[in-house]
Amino acid sequence: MTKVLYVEDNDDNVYMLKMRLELLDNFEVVVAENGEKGCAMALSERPDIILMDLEMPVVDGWEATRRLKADPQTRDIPVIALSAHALAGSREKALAAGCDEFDTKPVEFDRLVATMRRLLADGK
Amino acid sequence: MSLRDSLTRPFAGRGPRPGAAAGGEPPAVGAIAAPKTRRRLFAKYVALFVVVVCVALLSNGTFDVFFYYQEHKASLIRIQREQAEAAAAKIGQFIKEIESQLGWTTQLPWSAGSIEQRRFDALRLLRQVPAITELAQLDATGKERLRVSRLAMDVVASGADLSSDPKFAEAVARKVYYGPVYFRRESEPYMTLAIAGTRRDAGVSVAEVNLKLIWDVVSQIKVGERGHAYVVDAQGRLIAHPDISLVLRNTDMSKLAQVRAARAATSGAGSAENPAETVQEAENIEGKKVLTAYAPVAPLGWLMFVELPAEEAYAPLYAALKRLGFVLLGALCFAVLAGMFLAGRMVGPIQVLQTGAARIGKGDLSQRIAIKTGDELEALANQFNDMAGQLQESYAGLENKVEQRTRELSESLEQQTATSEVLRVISSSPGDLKPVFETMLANATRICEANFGVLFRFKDDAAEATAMLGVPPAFAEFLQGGPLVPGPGSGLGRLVQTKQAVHILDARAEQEVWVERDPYFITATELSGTRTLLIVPMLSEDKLVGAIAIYRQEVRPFTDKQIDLLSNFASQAVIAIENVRLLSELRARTDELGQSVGELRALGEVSQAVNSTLDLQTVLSTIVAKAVQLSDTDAGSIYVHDETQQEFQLQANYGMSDELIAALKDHHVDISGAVAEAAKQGEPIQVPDMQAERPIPANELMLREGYRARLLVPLLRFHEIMGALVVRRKTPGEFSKNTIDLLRTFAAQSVLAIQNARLFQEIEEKGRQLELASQHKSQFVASMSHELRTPLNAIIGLTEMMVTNATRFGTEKAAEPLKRVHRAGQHLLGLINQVLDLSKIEAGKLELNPESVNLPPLIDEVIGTARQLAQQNKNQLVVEAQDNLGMLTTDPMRLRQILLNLLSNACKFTSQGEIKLKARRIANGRNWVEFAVSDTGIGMTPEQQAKLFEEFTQADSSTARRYGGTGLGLAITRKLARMMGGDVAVTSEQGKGSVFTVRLPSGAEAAAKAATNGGREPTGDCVLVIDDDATARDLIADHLKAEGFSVKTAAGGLEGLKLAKELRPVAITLDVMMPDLDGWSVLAALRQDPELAEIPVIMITILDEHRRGVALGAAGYLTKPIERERLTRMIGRFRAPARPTRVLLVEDDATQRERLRGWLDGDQWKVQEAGNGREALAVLKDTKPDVILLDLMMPEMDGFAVVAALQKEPRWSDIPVVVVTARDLDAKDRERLNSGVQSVLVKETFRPADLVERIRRLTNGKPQVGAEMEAAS
Repeated sequence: MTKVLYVEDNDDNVYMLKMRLELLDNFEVVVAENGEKGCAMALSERPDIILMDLEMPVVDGWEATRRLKADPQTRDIPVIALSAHALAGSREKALAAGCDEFDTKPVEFDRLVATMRRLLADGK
Repeated sequence: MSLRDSLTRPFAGRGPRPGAAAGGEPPAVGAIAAPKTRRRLFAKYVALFVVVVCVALLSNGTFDVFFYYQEHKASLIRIQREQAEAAAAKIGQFIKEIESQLGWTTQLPWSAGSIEQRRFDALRLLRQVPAITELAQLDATGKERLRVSRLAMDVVASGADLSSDPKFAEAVARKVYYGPVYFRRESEPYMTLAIAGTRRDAGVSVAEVNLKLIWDVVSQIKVGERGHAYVVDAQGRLIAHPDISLVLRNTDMSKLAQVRAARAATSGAGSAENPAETVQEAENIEGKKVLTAYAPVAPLGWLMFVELPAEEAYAPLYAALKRLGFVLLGALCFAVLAGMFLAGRMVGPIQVLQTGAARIGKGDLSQRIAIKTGDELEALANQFNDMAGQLQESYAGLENKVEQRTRELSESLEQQTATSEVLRVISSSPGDLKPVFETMLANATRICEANFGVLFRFKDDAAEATAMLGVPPAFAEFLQGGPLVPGPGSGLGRLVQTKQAVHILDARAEQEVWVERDPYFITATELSGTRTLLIVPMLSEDKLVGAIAIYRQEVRPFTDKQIDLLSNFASQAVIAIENVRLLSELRARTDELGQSVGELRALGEVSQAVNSTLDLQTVLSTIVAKAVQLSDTDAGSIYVHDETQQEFQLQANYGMSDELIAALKDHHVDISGAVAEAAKQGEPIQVPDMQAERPIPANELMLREGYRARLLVPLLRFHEIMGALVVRRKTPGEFSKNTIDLLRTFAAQSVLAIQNARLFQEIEEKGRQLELASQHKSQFVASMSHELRTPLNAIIGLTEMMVTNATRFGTEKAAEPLKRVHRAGQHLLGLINQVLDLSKIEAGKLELNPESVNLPPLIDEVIGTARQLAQQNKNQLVVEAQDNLGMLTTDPMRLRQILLNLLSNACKFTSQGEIKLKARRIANGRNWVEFAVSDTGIGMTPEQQAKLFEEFTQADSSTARRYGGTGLGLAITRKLARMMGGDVAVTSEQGKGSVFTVRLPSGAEAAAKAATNGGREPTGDCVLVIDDDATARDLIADHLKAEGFSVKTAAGGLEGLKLAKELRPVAITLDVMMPDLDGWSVLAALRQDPELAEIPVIMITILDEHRRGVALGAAGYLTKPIERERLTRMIGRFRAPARPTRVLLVEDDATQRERLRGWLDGDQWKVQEAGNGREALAVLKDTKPDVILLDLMMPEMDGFAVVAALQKEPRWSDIPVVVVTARDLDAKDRERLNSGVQSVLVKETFRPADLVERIRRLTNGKPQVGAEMEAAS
């Protein structure tokens, strides 16, 4: 069972992705609604992978990623950035913040899962 | 008149005194006929002398007399006293004798002897003492035993008892008894003398004594002439006196003072302290004054007085006094005489002195005072004489001095005159040195008494004789034979060395010295015959520029004065030379300045041209014309670089024939190549002579036309070649630096102009492109909306279906996800709609559909929808709506949109707070309906408020994330509100809440405007305020806003034009005096643009300090030349309904008037004419036209004055005035108009109400007219 930490403030997105991932059986999804809580949960829940929304109140995704990657305890957890921004530099910006991968919203579910599996496999 | 006379004149009075002695002899002594002064001193002395003498004598005399008197008296008294004493002594002695004799008789005791014996003794006694007349002897008992008398019979033992008789008693008691004096036979004094014997039983002898002796004594006493002595007894009775009768009368003398005193003294009445005074002066019995002395007769107690009548006593005294008097008198006389004599002696010399001094005072200095008294007076006289002598000398000396001075002064005057003459010459011919030098030399030689003079000027090291006067021909020839290099011996040479004046006393004498070293000197001396020579340098700031030399052919040194004079002249010569130089410099400078001024002026004109019109052609033509004129060339051209064709095109020409221009154009490829070549260098290039150059076709062309020289100045902008300015001249030669600089400036101006033109073109192009882009965008959006909506339709629809009919589709379990999908779809639709709305509004394609809306139900509806939103954040929703809201003509859908947007924002940004919707009607100039949505939410900072209504910005991005939304809502809300003729405003405080207020006009016009405003974006009542002064802008804007207008402002003409195009405001206020593009130019531009020409423009200007302005309500503007169509269209706006429109035509040009009138023929027009402002006003008095067509530039009363007059009169001020202006107002006209504006404005005060009224009036009429217009066209 892979534990996924999904950091996202939009309720609908959470609902959808959580349901869909859990439908795949071997995913367990825990949710944090902003970067602050995300970092805390990362420490407490020790997920295997983190899906990080970028635009969030309080602490946004970039900042949260930086923190996670700075903390040795969470550094190794792969982070996939999810963003609705389709602008030119978004991918680079996310990667620069420390994200391991970047994907756009609306999510193309299969692609996302593939990316996740790949990262998890790489990690192991 | 000699000096002495003049000097002595003040003393002279009436001239020399008549009768004054010529010599110095003293006047006769005693000449009392002398003046008072003499007499005074004389008298003084005399008097003094007399007084002294008298005083001396008098005092002496008085003293003498006094003492003499005292002594005399004293001596007299002494004498008297001695006499008295002597006499008293005699008497005393006598008595004593008698006593003793008598005493003998007592010796015998009674017992012894017999009477006979006794008698015998007694007789013997009688014989012995003749004085005793009778003798009686008493025994111890007092009985008389014996009496012997000369006269009578002796009696023996008479037995008379005399014991009680004082004779006996007293005698016994005191041994001696002196009885009082009595007289026998009436003439003889007797006294009884009784003496008691010493023995106890001795008896007493009594003798009757005849005192005749006393009388003899007394009589014998000789006191003076009439003095006498007398005796008084102890009682003061006279007992002896030369005058017996007195005695016999028993005169009592005791009353006499002297007697009294004497008695007192002798009786010891006086005490030691107060001794009885002896009276020395008293009165005698007869009352005459006497001098008296006394002596006591001892035993008897008698007093012997010796008296001397005072008269006699004092006689000598009186005599002495008399003598004294005489002496005094005599002495007085003597003294007077002596005094006079002495005084005379003394005063005389003084008098002489005085006279002499007076004479000297009068100026007669030659007189000498002769006094030979051998004393101080003589010394004084000598002093006077010395003084006179000295005065004489000094006068003489002074005279000399004055003469000398006068001589000197006249000399100086002469020299001054000479100097001033020279100066005069200098000033009268400032540019000419020759007359100056000549005058100078003439004066110098004359005054300095020289034979001839030369003026040299130095050039480098050589001297040149620039001017000569009176020079001997040989010498003159010598001097003129070219520049002279003076040797060390000559005056010039020495001068060159020392730079100081050189004075040679005898040139000939010095010849030997110089014969070797300076032959020139010898020659010069010989040729000129010079002996004495003076040469002075002309120095200009220590530099030797020349010298003046004067020569004498005799040996006579020049005086210092002459040397100074010549030096003076030298300085003046220097000044003259300097003047000439300065003058020519000044001339040169003035010319330069003149040229510069001309250039500046030209530049000014050029700048103005550049700034005043955007027409590149005009500008360049002006530039090239001015450039050619000022550079003094014959022709010029400006080439502009064409980017596209990459070549230089001939753009403007001046001074060139059309054929040449045409030819140039043909060759422009070559030419531009040449120009490019030259221009590449970036610096002006000149060809002084094209003939000398290699033949190029371009040059050939020029040469054919006669141009030889060419100057090319590149037009550079930041090193980019924009073109070239070329000037050509028919005369070959170089172009001066000034010209090149000037042309550089012109080139810069050209660059500016070209740049401006380019920019303007760019702007136009950009505008066009933007326009195009905008159009494309709206098309795009419009089509996109369709595309976007279609799939949304499916999403929303199908999910809704599946939720509603869950059982049918077996989607009960999927309810949650389906609802979410549906909601998301709705959200998306809303967003798409918003985007569409916004783009429609921007493209101006959003239309409002106003209808009559009942507000309360609409509000209820909105609130109903909003309640759900409120509940989401647990907010309270409150409504406060007035009862009388009533109806509002507006687009209900859009109103709902606005209100919902505000409410949903309020709900979004507030949690657990209160959201209130207030609706009310207000009247603030116009009628409004105001909706206010207030919340107690998070509020906004001022920075956030500023960005609020911008699209796609929410307060900040975090807010967007948190609160959702696209940030479009408020932008759309505001745009909608504005379209409706209102606006949205916000107030907020961070943390406290916000209030959004929407105001919508509730008048019918609002709707009508919205309805009929086709074409470009309808903006509602927007007024464009164009004014460069921010304060004025704000002022007008505030007023207008308060009236319900929405105001846009522009700070300058260009900006104003831009905004006018954008906004198509309902009216424009235009400041006349603006720096970049003044009001008139803006006006012209506005009129030129057909879209903007119809917008009423109100010319305003507000004077800075006084805030005065006037609205010159020209309802429209036409510029000449007027086109018929334009005119009719303009006037048509003011058509009167249902009757012919009355037009008042005010135009001074009769031809023009005719033409205009011709255009306005027909029934619909009724035209009246006026040839100037005054006529126009006269017409106005009678009839009120519907519109006035007014030419601005008229003589006498010009258009502006007419407009002002119209406004002053209330019934005229609402007549629309169409103002006609010239197309191209040149600077002068503009100035005049602008100054005309000022003069009018001073009288008016700015009433914003007026402005607003005007705008309303102008704009109120419009919609109908617009409609009409549309119908007509």
